[in-house]
Amino acid sequence: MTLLRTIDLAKHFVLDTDMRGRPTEVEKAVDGVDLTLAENEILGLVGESGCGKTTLARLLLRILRPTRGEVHLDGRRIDHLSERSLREIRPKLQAVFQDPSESLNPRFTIGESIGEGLRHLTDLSHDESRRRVHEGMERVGLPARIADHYPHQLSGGQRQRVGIARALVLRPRLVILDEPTSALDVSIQAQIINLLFDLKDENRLSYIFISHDLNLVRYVSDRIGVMVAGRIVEMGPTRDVVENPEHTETRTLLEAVARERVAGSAPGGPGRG
Amino acid sequence: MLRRRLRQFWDMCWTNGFLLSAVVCLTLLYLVALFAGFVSPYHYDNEDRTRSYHPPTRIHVFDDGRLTRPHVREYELTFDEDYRRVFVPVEGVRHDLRLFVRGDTYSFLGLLEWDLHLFGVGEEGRIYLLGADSRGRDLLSRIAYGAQVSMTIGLVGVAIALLFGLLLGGISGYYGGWIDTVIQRSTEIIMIIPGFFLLLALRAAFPPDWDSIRVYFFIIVILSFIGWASLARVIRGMVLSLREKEFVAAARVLGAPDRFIITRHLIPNTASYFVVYASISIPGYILGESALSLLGLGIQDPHASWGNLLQEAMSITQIQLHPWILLPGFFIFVAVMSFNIVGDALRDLLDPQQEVTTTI
Repeated sequence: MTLLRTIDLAKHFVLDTDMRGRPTEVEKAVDGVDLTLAENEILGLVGESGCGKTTLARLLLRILRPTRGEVHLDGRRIDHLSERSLREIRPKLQAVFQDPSESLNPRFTIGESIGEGLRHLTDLSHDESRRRVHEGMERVGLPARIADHYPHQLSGGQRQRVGIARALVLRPRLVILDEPTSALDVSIQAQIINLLFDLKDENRLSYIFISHDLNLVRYVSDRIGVMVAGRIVEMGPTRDVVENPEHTETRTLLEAVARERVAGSAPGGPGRG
Repeated sequence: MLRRRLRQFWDMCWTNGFLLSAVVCLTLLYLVALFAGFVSPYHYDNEDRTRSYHPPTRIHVFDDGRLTRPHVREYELTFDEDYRRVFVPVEGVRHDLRLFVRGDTYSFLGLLEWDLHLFGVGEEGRIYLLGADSRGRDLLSRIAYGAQVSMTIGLVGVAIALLFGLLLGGISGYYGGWIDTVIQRSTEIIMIIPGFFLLLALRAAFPPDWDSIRVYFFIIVILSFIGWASLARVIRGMVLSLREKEFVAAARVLGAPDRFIITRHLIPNTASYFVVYASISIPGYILGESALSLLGLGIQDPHASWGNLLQEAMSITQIQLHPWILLPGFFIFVAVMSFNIVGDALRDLLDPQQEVTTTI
């Protein structure tokens, strides 16, 4: 069953206008993206930096309003909803961000950060929220005692676990992972990826996994989409895309992976691009 | 976080003598302001016109070469050949200095009436440790009561300016667009008018014969009306860069309303700036109040503030004849200086560069 579908989704940023306010310079960050995601599926989105991956993620999460196009979640159109109506959708649609030291407010304790979604999106009592927060911390392998700590007291891997727990306590159906491991050490990356796999199986989650690292994306994804300049140029099951690349960009990304293999710098499993 | 900062500040105090003395001075001044009725021997309006411009009294511990209880002598006002006031000691009359004496009643924190004073010489004599003013009122008592006005006006004023500066700066930076334009143009209008004239113009717009309490609050409002603008500009700039951080995007995904994002995510992360701003701008409020009161537009006699106490020192001949009437200026100097030193120390402490080095 289809969980998420976008139709001709686009976001244009106006960089400059003339005297009458008409745009003269427009950046087409996302320019007509159609994609579908089935339940319990992992869709990998890969592309070079600047190709619009993060903008696409922000459009799906409705941090940005699309210039045109539609987003349907679970059969309901969500791209035009007001901030108030979005509150019903938000628990289903969560995200884990790239840099855990940037995505956690340095002045919030870990417990406050993880409980933030519960505070805004649910009517749980204080005690219930606390219980859910501790439950969430346990599920991502964080000791309960660090709930009163601040982000700077944690390691990078622990911080990203906080980021994951924060999304999970809301019991989402779709989690958008925007480069969730690229700010982490290689050994920690593997742990986080395995944690994400486990959580997916336990909770019947779907992921959109965004990365610039094809090696990593092919390892985790059921299907892959390759993005170039705001468009998805190639999309299909992981095997097909990797073994039979149709687009030159896909080949370039694959060659980059191959070169790393030869140089011996890439680890066997998930690694840095 | 806060506890660690306090600890660092405490350590700084012990390595930096200036800072330690500034902190001690401020603590003492606030204690004096809080317990003004108790530490001052007289009520601020207790006058004795026969002792106009009485010079500071010496405390004697020897009487006829023998060690005795500390006491003050009785002085009598006479005039010399140029008709200048001369106070000559009256032989044989002494008043023992006593601690915890009963005297003028005062209200403590506006709650209870009390008449106990830290020290005094009783009913029959007068003690003027810092001299007297033209109406024979004790300058020490008036400075202590004046501290209530001068030392709190900065705190309350900065608190109000912070409230508006942070909120408007935060809103301006977070929303951008026309809201930003309106708020920023307003700050510019306030900032292009020279501060002191704006102060005078605002004061002139209201009746001159208000009682002192109303004037006190009104001065605070005027001063913070001028003060919030510069803060709002800086906070807006900081929020502009902070809102691009991923934790703001994350907060929106977690359903945080704008109000929550501005007040809990953005503004607290500008704390390192606005704490420093607060301590550095308090002297401006103290000086602003002093300037208004000095010109007779602020706190009115018989109420005391350091500014209106200096009114008597506006003539150079008065300063030559009775130099002690300049003493309120010395207190202004000490308070302003101390706030500046503390502000500098806080800036060093909360410097983001340093924060990076200490957290790694």
